[in-house]
Amino acid sequence: MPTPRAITLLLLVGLLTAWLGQSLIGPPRPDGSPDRLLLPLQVQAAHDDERILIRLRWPTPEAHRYHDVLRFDGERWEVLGAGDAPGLGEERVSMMLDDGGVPEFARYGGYLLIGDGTRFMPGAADEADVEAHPILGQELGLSDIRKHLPDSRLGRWDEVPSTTALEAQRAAGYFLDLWHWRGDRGGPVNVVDDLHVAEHRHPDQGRSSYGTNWDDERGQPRYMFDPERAGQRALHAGQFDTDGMAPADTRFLTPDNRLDFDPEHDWQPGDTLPRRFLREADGSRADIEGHGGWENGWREVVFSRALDTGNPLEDKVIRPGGQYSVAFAVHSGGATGRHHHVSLPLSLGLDRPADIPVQRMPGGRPDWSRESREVMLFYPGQVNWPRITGPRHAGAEAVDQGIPASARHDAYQLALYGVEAEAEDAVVRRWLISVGLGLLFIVAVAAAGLSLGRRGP
Amino acid sequence: MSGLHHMLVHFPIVLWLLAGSIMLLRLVRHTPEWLQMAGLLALALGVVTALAAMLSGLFAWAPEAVLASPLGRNKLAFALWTTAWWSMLLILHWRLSAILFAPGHRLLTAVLVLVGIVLVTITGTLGGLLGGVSAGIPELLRQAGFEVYTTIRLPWWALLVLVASGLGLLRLAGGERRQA
Repeated sequence: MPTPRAITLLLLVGLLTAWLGQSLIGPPRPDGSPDRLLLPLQVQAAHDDERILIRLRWPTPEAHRYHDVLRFDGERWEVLGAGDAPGLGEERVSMMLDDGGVPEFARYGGYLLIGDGTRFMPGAADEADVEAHPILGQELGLSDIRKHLPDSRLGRWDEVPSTTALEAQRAAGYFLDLWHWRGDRGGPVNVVDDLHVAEHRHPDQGRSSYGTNWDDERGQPRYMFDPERAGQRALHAGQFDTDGMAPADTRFLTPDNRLDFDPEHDWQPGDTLPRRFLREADGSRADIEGHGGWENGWREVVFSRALDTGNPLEDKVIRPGGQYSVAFAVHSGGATGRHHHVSLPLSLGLDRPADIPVQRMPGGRPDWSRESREVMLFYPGQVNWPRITGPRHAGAEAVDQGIPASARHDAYQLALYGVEAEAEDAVVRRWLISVGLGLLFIVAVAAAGLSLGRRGP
Repeated sequence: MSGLHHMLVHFPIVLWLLAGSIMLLRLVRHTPEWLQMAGLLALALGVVTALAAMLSGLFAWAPEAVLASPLGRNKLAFALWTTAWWSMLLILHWRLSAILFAPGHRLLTAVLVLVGIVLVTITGTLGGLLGGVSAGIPELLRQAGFEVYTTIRLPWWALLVLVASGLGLLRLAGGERRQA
C-alpha cells in the first residue's frame, strides 16, 4: 500500500477507535451508586388556609420494602439491613422547607448541608472525636456529623459556636424544616417523621412512630407477632421471594398485634420479624401525616401538615400568599445513607406564581387531576459544601457572588459530576494516560508525515 | 486573567480555521502563492497565539480547579491535543510544502485538516461551556457519542489499538528513512 494511504488508514484506525472507546466507557459507576442517575418526581400542592398538602409520586417497582429485619438462622437471631439481602431498604421521600431564614438554601439546596466531617463523605469525623467534643458530643449527645448548616460552624466540623449562639441562630430562623416519610418506619401508620436541620439533623420534640425491635442485652427481638391476631408468631421463609427479602405478605408489628418475644418458642430457620415496630407518635415529631399507596409501579405519598404547627423553633410557619424554598430527596430501590436522588431547590408559592404553585383547595378537597410539576432528581455523589466553595471548584467565585446552582448546572450534569467526584482518583488516572497517549499518537503521525518528505511526491 | 484568556482564544480559532480553509481550497484547485503563504502564516500565528492562550488559561483558573472538573479536564485535554495537532500541521506544511498537496497525498492532507477543524470546534465548545455559553454543539457531540460532562478517557482496549496504530505509524516512518 502506498505510504500516504497507509498513514491515513492507521491515523483513522487510531482516531476512530479512540472515539468509539470514549463513547463506550460512559460515566464511572462507583460502588453503591444507583443504576439510574436520574429519577423523576411528580409534585403537586394545595392548601385550605389551615393545612398544606404536598403530593409526591415516583416510579418504584415494589409495593413495600422492609427497611431491615431480624432473621433466625437456626441458632440465633441476626440483623439484616439494606445490602445484606436483596429487597431490604425502605422507600423514602423527604422534603426540606425554608422560609428565607437560610438564604443560600434557595440557591444551592441540600449541597449546603453537607459540610466538613459529614458521615458517608470523605473526611467523615471519627465517632470517638465527636463524642468527646464539648458541645456536639458532651452537650448535644451526638456521635456523628450529619446534615448541618454552614454558619453552625466557624470552620471545620469541630469549630462550633457556643450553644447560646446556636440557640440565637435557631430563634432567628436559621434552620430548615425536614419532612421525612419512611416507607417502613412510620409510613404504614401514616406518620411522616418531622425533623429539622440546624447544627445537626435533629428530630422534633416528641416520640417517633417507630421503635427498634431488638433487645441488645439479651441479643434477641423484643416483640413477636401475636399468633391469635396476626395468625403467626413470625414471617416464614416461604413468605419472601426466593432470593431476597421482598415480602409477599407484608406485616407490621403494631401495638395491636404484638406480644413480648418468647425465646422458648420452637423457632425455625428463616423465621423473620420486622426490626422495627410501629407505635403512636406524639408531640412536634408527629405534626405531619403521610397518606398514599403504590399502584402500577408508582409510589404516592401525600404530606399533610398544619400551616402553623405552633412549634416555630422546629417547624417553618407557612402562610397564605407566602413563597418558600423546597428541595426533595428520594431513597429508592434499597438506597440508604447518601445513595439517594436529590433535587435542586425550587420555589413553593401559596396563591402566587412559583415553581410549585400551591393552589387553594375548592371545598377543602385537593384537585390532583391538574398537571403536576415533574422535578428531575439526580444522584449527587460525593460533592460537599467545602468542595463547592473551595479552590477545587472553578465556580466557587460564582457561589460567593450568590449565583444559583441552577444557573450553571442541570440535574443531568450534576449527576455526572457527582459520580466522577466519587471515583475521581481512578478517572483522573485514566484521563492522564489517555491524554498522554493521545499526544504521543500525534507525535507518531507527525513522524510518519515527515517521512513523506524523504520519499518525495 | 480569565478575560484575557477569553480574548486570546479567539485568535487560534480564527487563524486555524482560516489556514485549514486555505489548505482545503488548495487541495481542490490551484491557489496563488501569496494565498499559500498567507495560509502558512495563519497556521504559525495560530500556534503562537494558542500557546499564549494556554498560558493565560493556566493563570486564569487554579490548576486544581481545572483538574477537579470533568469539563475542565476535557477542555485541557482537547486544548493540548488541538495545539499539538495544528503544530504538527505547521511543521508538515513548512517542511513538506508542495508534497502535502501533490496527487496521492491529498486524502491524507484532507483528513489531517478536517481532524484539526473538529478538534478546534470541540475545544472552543468546551471553552464556551466553561464560560456558561452553549451553541448547541454539546448536544451534537452527545449524539455522536461524546458526553462533554464526562471526563474523556479510553478503555484499555482502545488505548492498546491507539498504541498499535502509533507504532505502525512509527514503523512506516522508519521504513521511509531506510529507503531514503
